[in-house]
Formats: sequence, structure tokens, C-alpha cells
Amino acid sequence: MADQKVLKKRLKALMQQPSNQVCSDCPEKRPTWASLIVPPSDSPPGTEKIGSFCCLECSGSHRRLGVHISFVRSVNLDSWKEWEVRAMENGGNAKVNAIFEARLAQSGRKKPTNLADGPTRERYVRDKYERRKFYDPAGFSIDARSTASHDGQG
Amino acid sequence: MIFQSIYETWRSLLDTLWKALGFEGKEGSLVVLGLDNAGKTTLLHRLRTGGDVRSFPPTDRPHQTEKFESQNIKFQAWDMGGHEAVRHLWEDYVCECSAVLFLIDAADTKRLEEASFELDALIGEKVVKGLPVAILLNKCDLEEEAMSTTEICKRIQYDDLRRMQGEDNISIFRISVLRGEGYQSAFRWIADFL
Repeated sequence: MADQKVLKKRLKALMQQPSNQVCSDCPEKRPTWASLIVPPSDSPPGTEKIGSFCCLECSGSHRRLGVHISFVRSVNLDSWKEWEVRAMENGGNAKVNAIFEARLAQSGRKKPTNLADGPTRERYVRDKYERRKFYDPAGFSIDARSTASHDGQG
Repeated sequence: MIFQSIYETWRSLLDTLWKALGFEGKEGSLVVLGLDNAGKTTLLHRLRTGGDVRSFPPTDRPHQTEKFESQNIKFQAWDMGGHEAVRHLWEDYVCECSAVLFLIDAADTKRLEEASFELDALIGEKVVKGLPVAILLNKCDLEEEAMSTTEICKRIQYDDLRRMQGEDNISIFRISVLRGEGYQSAFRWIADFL
């Protein structure tokens, strides 16, 4: 079994990046939950799993999607596996949203507020990850490490 | 005045009789366990409100539900978090309860082993001895993904669990919280212990 201390350290380092300090699906700050997203079957071959950090409330909506779409983990309450941490490093909120919110602005839709009720969040999360209404797979080619350094400058 | 006192006497007599026959006054306290995302909070919400199923954020700390009724018995339940770091609390809450519900996501093949490990550890605990343990295989509405009872029994080594807990004290039920099906029989089974 991989050393939890080391894995958690890698997670905490990721959580320091500015884009990961806001929930991927609402404006809530300092999210401590994570959603591991299975790449849609029509994404480019060899596409690896990606993960985003989300808040407790939004993680509830992710759980309704089913594990064939996303799998929810807690940074503090769960132990992590190597592939799960790698998915977070491979993804991160900037990349996940470059993929799943690529067409959000042009759609005219707004993200839920951090005070939104459960059904409002669930509708948005389903539109974003299940129905893929704002999706553009081009984002999969983004190197998560380069967005991280960009974050650092901003 | 006299009529009233006769009426009251009769009433209390009837009440006593009713209770003696086991029709009323039964109460039960439950503890609901299982891995995260098995459906514990959603089941309790459904039992309490009778209605809609909606999404809940993960449960991070134990909380007690309001009273609800099932099979004419008043129940109160502890909803426990299922994430790894809070599982050590389960044991403390089992002590206070008259029955244990253990939920398994029947459609999550990848985590059945983890569920089995936790169930095994639980059944080995002293505090669980003699308590009825109902294993609820949830999400059976997912007809393609949900594993058969036979397969699950084999993989969780149900025969061993029965041997450890005593055949009469453990039972397994297929349920769907989403459809509101199956858990009624589990409550009927538990009712006989109270």
C-alpha cells in the first residue's frame, strides 16, 4: 500500500494552486472533496482519468451521477490510492473546467451560487458532466502542470 | 362523571391489553452503517418523509434522525458517516442500538471487497453479539449493474458471517431506496426482535 502521508502531501500541494482553492462547480472556497471523473467513452484514445476539487455540497450531486461518471473521495476522511492522486495531478479544476465548461459562457448558463439548494446544484452538475452541455474534449490535451505554473503567476 | 371514570378505566385496560399483545408501544433504535455512498442518508430520509429521493452531501459526523414509523413501530436511527476516517465510531453507536442495518451498494463491484472487510470487522466485535444485523443490498434498481444475491453472498462469505453472528441474527435483503422497495421486509424482520 502506498504511503498515505506521501499521497496526502501531494494532494495538499495541489490544493495550494489558486484554481483548486475554489470548488469546480460553485464559488465555495477551499474545497476538501474530490471528484474523480471517468473520461467519456468518445474522448481521445489513451485519455487518463482526471479529478477536480469540489465542496461538500457539490460532492453530493456528483455522487448521484454514479461511479461510471464520477467517484467522490474526501481529502481528509478517505485514504487515497496512487492512481487517484495521479488523476488529480493529471486534472485539477483549471483543466476539468477547460473541458467541461468550455462552452459555458456562450451557453449563457450561470454556475450555481455557493448557497444554491441541492436540486439546483444537481441540475448543473448533471448538465455539466452527464449531459456534457458545455463540453469540449480539446481541453484534455492541456498539460495540467503548465496551468499550475500559470496559476502561480496570477 | 361516573361514566367518564368507567370510560377511563376501560381505556387503560384496553391499552394494557393492546400493549401486552405487542401491538403498540414497541420502539427501536437503529444504527445505519456501510461504506460512503451506499445510500444510508437517503434511506433514512425516505423512511422519515415517505417521499422524494434527492441527493445528499456525504455525512461527515454521526447524527440522530427524528422518530419515524415503520411496521407500526417507532424508530430512531443513527446515521453514520461511511468514509474511512469516521468508521472507527461505528462501534460506539452500535452499543446504544437494538438493531444494525448495513448497506451495501450492490452495483459497485469494485468496492464490494472493501464493504466485506468492514462487515467482517463489525461482526467480529463483541458489541454486535446478539443484535439483529440486516444486510441491505441497495441500488438493485440498476438492473444491469447490480450483482445477484448469490454472487454477493459468495464474495462477502455470508456463510461465515452467519456462523459468527448466529443464523437467526443475520439476514440479507435486496432493496432499492430509489424505488422505495425491499427495506420494508427488513423492518418486518427487525420488528420481531423488539
